Amino acid sequence: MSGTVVVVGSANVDLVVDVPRHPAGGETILGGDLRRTPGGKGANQAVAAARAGGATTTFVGALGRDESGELLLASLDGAGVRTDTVERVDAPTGTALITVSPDGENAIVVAPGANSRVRVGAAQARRIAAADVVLAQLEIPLSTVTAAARERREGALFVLNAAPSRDLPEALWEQVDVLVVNEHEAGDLAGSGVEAGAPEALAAALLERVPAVVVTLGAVGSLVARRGLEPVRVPAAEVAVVDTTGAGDTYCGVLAAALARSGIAGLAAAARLAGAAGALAVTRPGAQDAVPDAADVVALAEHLLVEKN
Amino acid sequence: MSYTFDPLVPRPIDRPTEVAVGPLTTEASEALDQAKIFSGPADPADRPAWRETLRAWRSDARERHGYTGAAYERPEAAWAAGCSTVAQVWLWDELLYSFAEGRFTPEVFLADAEERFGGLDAVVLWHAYPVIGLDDRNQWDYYRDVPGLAALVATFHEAGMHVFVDYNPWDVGTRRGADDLTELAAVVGELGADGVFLDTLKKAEPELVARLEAARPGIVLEGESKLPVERIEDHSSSWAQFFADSPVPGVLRAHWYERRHMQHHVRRWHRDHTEELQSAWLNGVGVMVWEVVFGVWVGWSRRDAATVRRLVTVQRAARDLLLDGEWTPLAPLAPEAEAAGVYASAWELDGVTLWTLVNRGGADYAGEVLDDGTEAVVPARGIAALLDVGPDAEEPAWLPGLRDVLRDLPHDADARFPHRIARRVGVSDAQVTPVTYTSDTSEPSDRSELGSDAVVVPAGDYVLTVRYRARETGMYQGAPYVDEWKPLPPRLHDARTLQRDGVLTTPVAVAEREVTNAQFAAFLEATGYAPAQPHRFLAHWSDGRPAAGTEDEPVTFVDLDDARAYCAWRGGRLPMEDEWQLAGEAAPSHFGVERPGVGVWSWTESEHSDGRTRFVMLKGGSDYRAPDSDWYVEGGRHAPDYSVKLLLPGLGLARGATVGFRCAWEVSA
Repeated sequence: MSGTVVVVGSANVDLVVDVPRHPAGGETILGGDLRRTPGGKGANQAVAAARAGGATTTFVGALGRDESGELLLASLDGAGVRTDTVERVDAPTGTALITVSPDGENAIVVAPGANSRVRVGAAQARRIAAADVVLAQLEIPLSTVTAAARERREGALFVLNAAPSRDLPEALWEQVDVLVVNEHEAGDLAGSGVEAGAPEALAAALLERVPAVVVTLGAVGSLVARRGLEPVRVPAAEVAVVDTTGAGDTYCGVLAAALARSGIAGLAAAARLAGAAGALAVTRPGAQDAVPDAADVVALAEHLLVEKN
Repeated sequence: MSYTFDPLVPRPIDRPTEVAVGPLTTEASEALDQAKIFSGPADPADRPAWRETLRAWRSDARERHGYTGAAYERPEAAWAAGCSTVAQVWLWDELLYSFAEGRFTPEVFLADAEERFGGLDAVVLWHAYPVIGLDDRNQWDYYRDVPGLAALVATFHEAGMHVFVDYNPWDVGTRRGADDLTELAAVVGELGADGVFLDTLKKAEPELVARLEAARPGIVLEGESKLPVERIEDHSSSWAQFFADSPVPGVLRAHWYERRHMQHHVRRWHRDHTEELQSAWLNGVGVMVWEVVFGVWVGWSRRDAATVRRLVTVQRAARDLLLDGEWTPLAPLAPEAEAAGVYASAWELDGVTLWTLVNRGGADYAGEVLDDGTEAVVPARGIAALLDVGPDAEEPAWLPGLRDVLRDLPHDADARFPHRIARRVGVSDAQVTPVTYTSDTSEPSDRSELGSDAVVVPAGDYVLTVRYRARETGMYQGAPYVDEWKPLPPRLHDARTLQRDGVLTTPVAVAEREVTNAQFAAFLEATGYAPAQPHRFLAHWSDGRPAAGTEDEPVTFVDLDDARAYCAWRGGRLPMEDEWQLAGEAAPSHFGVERPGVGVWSWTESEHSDGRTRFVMLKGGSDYRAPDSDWYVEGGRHAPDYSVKLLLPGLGLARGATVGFRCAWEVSA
């Protein structure tokens, strides 16, 4: 596999203001300076697949014809993501309004805007059909996610990062080759019958519906499970934590990039690379700005000597 | 298929040899004797038969050549089998020698080698080429005349390294001493050398082998070109220089024949060493780390240096597996790994198996490497290792220590060539050797003398064509060859030109004649000048005076700093090389080949350094010419437009019988 990834998903501009406290109803608060940064799960994961994963990466998304759209395009281009399949639509660019209090607690309002208009047209379908891996999340219409998955060629992998938590239609479940979830998302999807706090049990339940699942466990690493194989715990690297915002998306992007080169057989090794990338991402502030370079990911992930048993 | 020359493509003789599987005929077996590398088969299904054919060839060849392996049983020579990394180092490399302090700095060289390459196993101390031939000193003189050289060798020994000296068999045109056998054996003994590098040779004659063994039991010989199979018997090492590998990496013929025979991959002009390193890793051999090729910087990228560190660390630990284990080249791997360009050798001993893995691809590989699902990450164009301690095997004693060391040896993906720029070492910022002047210095500034014996070059813009001969030294900047396979005449040693342009901000007067012995004697008497490093200073004088009858001949046996001191005393300086040429083209009767008197080269104020090599441009040529080899400095007198790049030796060895100097003065308008 040559290492081609298409990410289908959302792109948001994050408008961030530090506030002394979150305002109550009817109240006006003076905050700090406004920061505008590129974000959105889909865009973040595309940046990660390209910069940290070293994959030829295309982003399929929708942006408004506004300054925020320009900001997001520039960020994707700067990371080496191909953006010719991004559509400019007559809706505002997706925007997240974020206030951050001194204790780091966020209050967020998301206006999906253009993200509601993401679609798989002929151009997008052609690009998806050429991909080794199609990666998507759940911040765009589910019908679009399902359509994207269907356009992939035989042998290509559909990786679904089932975030934020939502119920999935049967048509989408049927398309998933690799499901990537954190523990909370895994619990939501596995249903109330599964014991909480047991990633292996959650994974086993999810394997009833998908052939492979990766459960990310934060500082502990991740659990990689495939039907018919023993689940594998992939430990995380120990790093000094600065900002966890971008870690999950960095993980997903790099996982997709590595799978695009190694195929499903390399899922556990791909998770190792992804874990290294996520670990590096938490050492820096921001989301897209925190995405590490591929060389640093490999240096952290690989070990010259691998011991069997 | 006819061969079309392209310097960036391996020559036919560099290419690996295909191995026909099937019954091995005598003819086929003898043909394989000529291989450098046995090509690896593209189809995995062919590999078992390929390995069997290689084993059959080895048995047959050993029998045909009456192989005994006795040389490898010598305990004093056992180090060679574990000598993974050898650096070729010019004695006056600025990492090994400080021009400012006038002493060898092995501690600096060793620290750099440790940090960047994980330490070196041996060095070849390079001594004569490319400066030999400037005068009649022979290759033995260039070792014996170096103050403190035996102590330097001892320092390397104390650091756990072995030392090769270099033998130049083509040096037959300089001062003759005893025959080469006698001289080389003597130098080996005097310096305590462990090995001899056979420059331009594939092998040494049996008589030389015997003499060297007598001089230093266990002597290790390493030839530059492909070592004939029959001489693996008595040569413990050889270069794998310009050995191209097959797309599916193959097996080094000499090392396959005798596992204790060490080979060192080297492609001296390449900036990407990954193919050499991967072949070394798969074969269990080493590389020559050669960063300064006869004064030209060919530094190793961070990626390739990191790969050396990792390679040698594992090889040193697991040497018993590499030497005594069952070696399976192109060991079976998972199909996905093969498809991605990952290949491996397997080495098994006493139930412990080591796989040495390489990734030929341009993308990092993360996935299954063995069919049983074992996974690894193999960096793009990098290496990895897999170790299996079998259920009934003991964990190797070296494993815990290796685990610890490898934690601090990450892959470095930075493959950029680390360029260096040669910069002129100006008089104003050079650390000029301190001189002693008497308090009653008298400084002649007789303008009439200047006017009568100097050629004035006017101020203004100038453009010059400079002629030179293409040697491996290059000229001012950069390498003469980049990524080239072996340059041969006429790409080497042919006549070239370069253009220089500049501005003279003031007119410059360049002396019509070299400074004479008498003039230099007057300088000494007036100033009491004594160089910081006296070795070879005015060696042609006796009792502190020029020999009778030579008073008006050019003074020689002076180095750049000696010349600078004299010119400063005269209120002048050395001429820049361009000023020398401008004056020479204006007054060829005083500077050209027909100039009167004894012909000697001129020092110029053109000293440069790129941080590793000091060099200066010499002008004028001399009456001396070393005959019979193109490797010598091109002697004889030269026209003013001719320049020779001279790598500067230290510790007084820059002083020679054929180099003098002229002074220059800046003329006020």
